[in-house]
Amino acid sequence: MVDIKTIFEKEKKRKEKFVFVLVVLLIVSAIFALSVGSVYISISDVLHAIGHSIFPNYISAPVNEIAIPIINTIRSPRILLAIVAGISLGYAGTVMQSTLRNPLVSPFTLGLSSAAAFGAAMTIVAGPLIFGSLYYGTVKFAGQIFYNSALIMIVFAFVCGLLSIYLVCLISSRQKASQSVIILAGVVIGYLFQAGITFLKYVSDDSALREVTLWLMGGMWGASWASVLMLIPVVVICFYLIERNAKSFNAMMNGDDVAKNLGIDVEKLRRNSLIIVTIAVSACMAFTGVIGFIGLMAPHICRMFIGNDQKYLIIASALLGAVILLISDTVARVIMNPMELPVGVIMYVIGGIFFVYLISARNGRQIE
Amino acid sequence: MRIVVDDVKQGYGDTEVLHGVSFTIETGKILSLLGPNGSGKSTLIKTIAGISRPKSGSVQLDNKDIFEIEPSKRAKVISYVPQAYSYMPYTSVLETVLIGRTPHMGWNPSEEDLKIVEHALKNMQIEDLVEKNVNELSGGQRQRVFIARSLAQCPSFYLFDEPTSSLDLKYQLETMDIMKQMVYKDNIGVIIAIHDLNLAMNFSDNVIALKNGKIRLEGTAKDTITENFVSEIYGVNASIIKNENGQFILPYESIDKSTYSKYQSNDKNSITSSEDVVKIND
Repeated sequence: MVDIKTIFEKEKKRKEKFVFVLVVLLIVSAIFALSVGSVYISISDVLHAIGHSIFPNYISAPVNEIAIPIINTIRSPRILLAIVAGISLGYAGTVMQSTLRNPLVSPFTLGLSSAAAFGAAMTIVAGPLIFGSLYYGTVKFAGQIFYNSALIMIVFAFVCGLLSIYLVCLISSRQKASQSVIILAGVVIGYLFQAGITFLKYVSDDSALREVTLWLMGGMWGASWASVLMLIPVVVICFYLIERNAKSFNAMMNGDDVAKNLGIDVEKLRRNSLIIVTIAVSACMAFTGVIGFIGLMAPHICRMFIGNDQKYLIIASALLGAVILLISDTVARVIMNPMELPVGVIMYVIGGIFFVYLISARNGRQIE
Repeated sequence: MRIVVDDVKQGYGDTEVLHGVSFTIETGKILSLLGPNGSGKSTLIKTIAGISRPKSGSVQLDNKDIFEIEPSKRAKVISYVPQAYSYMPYTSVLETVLIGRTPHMGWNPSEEDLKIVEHALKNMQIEDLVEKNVNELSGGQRQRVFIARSLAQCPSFYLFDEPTSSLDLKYQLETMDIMKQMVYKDNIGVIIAIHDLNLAMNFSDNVIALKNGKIRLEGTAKDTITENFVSEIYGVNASIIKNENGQFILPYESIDKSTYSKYQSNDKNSITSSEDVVKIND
């Protein structure tokens, strides 16, 4: 005698437990990341520094006086940027995989990363020529200084990112969306924008070339309170807009025809969700540069643990994306102290090994 | 309730697949759509399922155009099971069948939703597979999962495109039996696109035969499916055998045999003699 309600509740608990574990993992990694670096700050000082900054009247200042400025001005924005970027890449990957029903797509494989990179490289190389002194200006908002160049870069990255997604959708809809055509379209469009980047690198002067190259490597160098305060609302609003469609994404899993029969406007949902994740990813990439891997791997790893229920998969991939990026960035920061490695170097190694382990250790989803 | 298909013309791009198809189906009946490959059965089913708008003509549900009805409301009345299934890896059977509750449920499934899912799983005899992933199942098990998903939708009309194609003999008969029971007990309507003429003849009330995008023959199953019907629609010679268990079709050779046996007769090892061909064409 099979009791579906019991099984459903058991599965639900397991999914909730997984999300809860990721939240704890994220908090622990964030505290650890605040503590390590070229200056070591004890965990207790980290907690005091955070507590004292938020509730100065109730929590005493940390013993180590230097903790507050280091944490508040240097480490916190960087850690928050890693978290926000990881979250956006994590859910973007899930949404792309579910709406295109292809476990191989991600911001990277669909050419979105290359396109956003091209937009950013355009800004670095041609921005000063196009916008003149405006490019170097700043905007003051909510007590923070926002650089015009960063704002322009977000817009350029977004426009190019959107163009790549539009082209992929156009090509795949013409061909009756065979799965390999979508990937092919993404790869080809990625090459087109890569060609553009190579051209820009070739014609740019030394300082712009260095900036473009650094940006293409990806990293949290662009972290500042201004960038984080700009990104948090974008990423949170986009997350909300995506998550509330989780039920419809579930229905799309059995094919467009079934989803349409179930009353879902498939074309509209796919188009809108891809635009929303493009906004979130391009905005983050304008500050972090190109970050691969997470968009592809975070959804896969989560799927192995909790299956495909989008209600949990979207949030779990977002959290796992944040954990992976934060841990990788922290390791990249401290492993060759005082020198910093690009985050990609660490992420691809840690993530790659972990993924190979998961694939070879289990082949079902029943990982408790 | 009734669905009226009125002079539906449908196609993809510039090619027209259906050239004006009209018929009516009421609840309490099983209608089989017959016809050779490419005759437009799937296209017709997709049009009735609300998946693609007809180029002209209309599909009406109780005198209302189904494309004017709010999609989530239509989804509670008409359910569709496609011929080819798509799914993502690591999706459990339970998750898949729950998708059928989409038009009915809120953010989380209610107790009633789960009860209906349980009933659907039991009906298709897959309750033991509920925790398995769809990609781990056999073709026949998977087909039963997708039929169960459709049952969980609790519609008044089911549209099945080749629902028995991957099932073994036992499950073919049982699945058709379940449909028959639902039709008479719960007063629902079923449209099935099917190639198996014996299942069509013994389980459906009416049949419609499509050929080249047009209705060629229609009527009650027992009267319509005859030797002439099989040769005209499928180009196959067949005998009808009647016994105490029902009426059965026994197809034995293609009428076009003369065309390809010409090539075969040049082959000395061929078992087909030219005499056979003459006999067929008589």
